[in-house]
Amino acid sequence: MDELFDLGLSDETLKNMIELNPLIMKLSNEEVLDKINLLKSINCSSNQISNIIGSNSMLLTRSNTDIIKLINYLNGLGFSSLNILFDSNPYILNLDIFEVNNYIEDRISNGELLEDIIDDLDSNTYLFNEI
Amino acid sequence: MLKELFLKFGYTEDEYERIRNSYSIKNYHDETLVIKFNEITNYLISVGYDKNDIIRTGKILPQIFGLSVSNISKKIVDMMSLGYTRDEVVEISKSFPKIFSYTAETNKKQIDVIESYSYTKKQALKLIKASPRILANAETYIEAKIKNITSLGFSRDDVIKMSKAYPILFRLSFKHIKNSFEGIMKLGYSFEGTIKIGREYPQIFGFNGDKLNEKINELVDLGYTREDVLRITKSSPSILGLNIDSIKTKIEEIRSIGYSREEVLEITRVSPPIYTYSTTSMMKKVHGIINLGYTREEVLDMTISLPSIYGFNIENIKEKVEFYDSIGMHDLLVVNTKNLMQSVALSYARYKFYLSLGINISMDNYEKLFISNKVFEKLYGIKKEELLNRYSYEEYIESKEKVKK
Repeated sequence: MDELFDLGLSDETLKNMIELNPLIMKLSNEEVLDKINLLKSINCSSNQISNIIGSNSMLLTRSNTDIIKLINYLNGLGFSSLNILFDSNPYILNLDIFEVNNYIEDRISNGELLEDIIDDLDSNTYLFNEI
Repeated sequence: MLKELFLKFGYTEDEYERIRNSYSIKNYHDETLVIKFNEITNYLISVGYDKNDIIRTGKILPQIFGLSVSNISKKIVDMMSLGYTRDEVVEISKSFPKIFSYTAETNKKQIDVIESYSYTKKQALKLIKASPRILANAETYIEAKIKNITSLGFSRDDVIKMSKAYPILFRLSFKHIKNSFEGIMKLGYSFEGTIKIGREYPQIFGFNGDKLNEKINELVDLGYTREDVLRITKSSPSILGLNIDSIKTKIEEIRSIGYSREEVLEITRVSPPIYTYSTTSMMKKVHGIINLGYTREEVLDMTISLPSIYGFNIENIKEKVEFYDSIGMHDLLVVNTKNLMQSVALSYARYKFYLSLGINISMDNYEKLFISNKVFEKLYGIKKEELLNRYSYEEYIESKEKVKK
């Protein structure tokens, strides 16, 4: 948990993180560091890492495999600068591929083009909250 | 006399015969066994067993009547030395009497095996408490559970994670888990949705199907559509663990912050994690944003426009407000709260880019900061990555820090 304290988050934020996800109390430093390094691998700055983790503590107990699958999927769709995307809406990291896929397929079936949908999601990240 | 003792205690004739002829005690004289029976039953009663527990234990582990009280007592103490209370050890032994036939070394070895699956010692002890049978052969036990549960569609990592969060999962029969899984899908969740819920909230496998359907109907009765309920509970499955009175109380508590009931339903529909926040935390967030220079009414309006604001950490909200304040756009969040979601790095980069073109951004033309990436690139011929590199927010922050020092 020391790694969490080193993120520079306030006590209130840490309290909120535990409220949302009590399981983070049982995480080892290595597990927290794993997530931090994963975010660094997509070019998140320290500031962005603090923001993402501080706003979405569910991320800390999500499996790295699932997160990497999501990252690869989003990259494959054409999302760029994932550090900016997740900094804008940290909750995206809680989604499974099938959820994003179903949302996109729905919009395509309504006649929208994939590139327009991706642009819309990339530019209006609150839309991910509707998934 | 021995037979009468057993029959009087509650064993059937067949049970007595089986126990009496079991390998470990068949060579004892009846007189010796009478004494041992009385000593052991009295001891077990003294530690919390009732008659039915003793009858069950004798049937499963006849050799207990060949043990001495000091031997049984030592096994209890050995288990306690692992980290259990005496009551816990007694409960474990009632559930799995065979632990009285294991040595401390055997138990330690099984715990080591459990830990090799990335459980901590504490998690291993919880797993044993939930499913004492694991001590018979931890590797075989865990592998069998993993094989069963992965056949439903979960990954191996999922199963380990689920059992850490809900050790009782390993006590449930596969038939029960499979029935629960199919029951959850019948309620309207997709296969992947059921996997997601099970992975995030394995406790759901402890519910019975009727109870779950009842919970969903109760949430619909609050005013959500069924589709909303399925979406909300997929996003935050722990809501399924709350009883309906707690949810109703929570709704009233959130109302007390300043919302109508319909507004509470709407903000929780859009941002289900709100149900997991305490009202105190929510109030602190409201006050935190008020302290950034907004009225209470403005802040409540912001939370209705963008309920997920309750999840953002205050440091990040403050950073964004300070940035928009610095460029004369304090009212941005009141006028269009959803803009708060845009990364401050992107807002900064675009602001600087516009300045370089001689375009001043103000509340009169703030939309320019938030046009879609595709439109921006088409209008100005610069990709997002290049823009972010050219006008680095991180460098701006570093230079600000240097000036402060």
